Amino acid sequence: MAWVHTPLTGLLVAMMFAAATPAQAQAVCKKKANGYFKLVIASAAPAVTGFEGIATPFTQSLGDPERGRLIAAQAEKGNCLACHQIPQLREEKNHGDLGPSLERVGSRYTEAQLRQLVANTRAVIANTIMPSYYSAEGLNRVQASHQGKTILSAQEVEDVVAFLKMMK
Amino acid sequence: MRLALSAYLMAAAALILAASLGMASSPLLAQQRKSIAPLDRDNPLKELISGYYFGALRTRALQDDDFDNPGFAWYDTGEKQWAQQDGAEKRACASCHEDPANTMRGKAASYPKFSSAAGKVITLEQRINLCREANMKATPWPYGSSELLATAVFIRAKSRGLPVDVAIDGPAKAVFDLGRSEYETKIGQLNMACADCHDKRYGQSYRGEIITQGHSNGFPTYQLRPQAMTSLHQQFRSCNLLVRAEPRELGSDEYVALELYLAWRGRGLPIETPAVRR
Repeated sequence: MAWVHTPLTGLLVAMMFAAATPAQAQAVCKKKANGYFKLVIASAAPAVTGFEGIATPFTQSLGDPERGRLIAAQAEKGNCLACHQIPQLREEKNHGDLGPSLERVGSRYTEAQLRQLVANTRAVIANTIMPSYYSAEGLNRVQASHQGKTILSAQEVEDVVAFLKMMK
Repeated sequence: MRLALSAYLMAAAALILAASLGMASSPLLAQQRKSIAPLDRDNPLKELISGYYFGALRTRALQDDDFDNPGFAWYDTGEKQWAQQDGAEKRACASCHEDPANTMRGKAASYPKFSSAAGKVITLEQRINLCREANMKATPWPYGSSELLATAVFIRAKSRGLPVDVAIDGPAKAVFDLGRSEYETKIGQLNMACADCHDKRYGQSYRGEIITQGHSNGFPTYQLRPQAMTSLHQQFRSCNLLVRAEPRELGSDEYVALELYLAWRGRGLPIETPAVRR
């Protein structure tokens, strides 16, 4: 289930703490912080900064965010929901929590940075477990039917980047 | 004042987010997971939790009741197989091993182990076949066969509740090292190692599936999703395919090594065969 941000729910939530003193709120906060808070904060800060990314698109044709949205949802394609919470895909159940939430990811990274992260996160985050979607280098024991191929095609990467860009 | 308000909002949002994430991050359910301390200091895990505790309460209830547990269909088949004569010697397992409840109790807990007869570390399934060949003059069952699976379930169930306890010294050391390396090496188009999920991210959600610690104490396991009794090596193949890695053969040296490593890593956990998992 994804958290729905509306002014009303924000107000509701603020009202719950209206009676609490700042010290109490902090104490409750710290107590519940383990893991959950990181997911909220993760939306606010990028996981990695200070890298150029890949400025040149992989295709001449523009990425289609609608196709990108489908790719993000489909298990055989990007399967982004396996690890990431994606508010734009609220109708899909069971978003994973192995990686940061993709809420507002379009505001946290430039298009070039998004392209780098989709194509090959490992180049900028060495110990990531996020698969490289557009690089087949340094792989081991790849299944025969997938050998020599990248998980996504160039167009699919552009589609996903276009989708991620939209989430501001 | 403005600062305090945003602090409230953040804190409350965190709470609601936590609640809405459901089981994946629920502290209440996490507390219900019984854990034991690892028996070995160099175990990568700081606490050992059986896959049982990562299952829904209804799944656990199925396992707890022998009449409801679908895995017992295989146990019953194994029991019949035990009494069945086979091979040139026209013997059944029962011919030499009377009263399996006693004679087989505790046996499965030390597998995989080194066998001087085989000259290498073998699994319980391989030991069954060794016996068939040597003592019954019967042809060994193929590793994925239903007879071997049922017999393995039957024998392992006789050790139910006893702690897994394998040896990794002496002739088993090299096999253990291979198993450990299999566990920690990234493989497949998705480039992941078993350890990535099962050592470091258990309890988290992989598209709604709560990641377990990946222990072997419940295998062969009845899995609810495929509605099938699954052996450990079959599970290895499924896991390999999940990360788009080329699976190995059932009973291969690498899978035997991996089985030994897993047994060591879960040492102390009770055997739960036939376990029920999702």
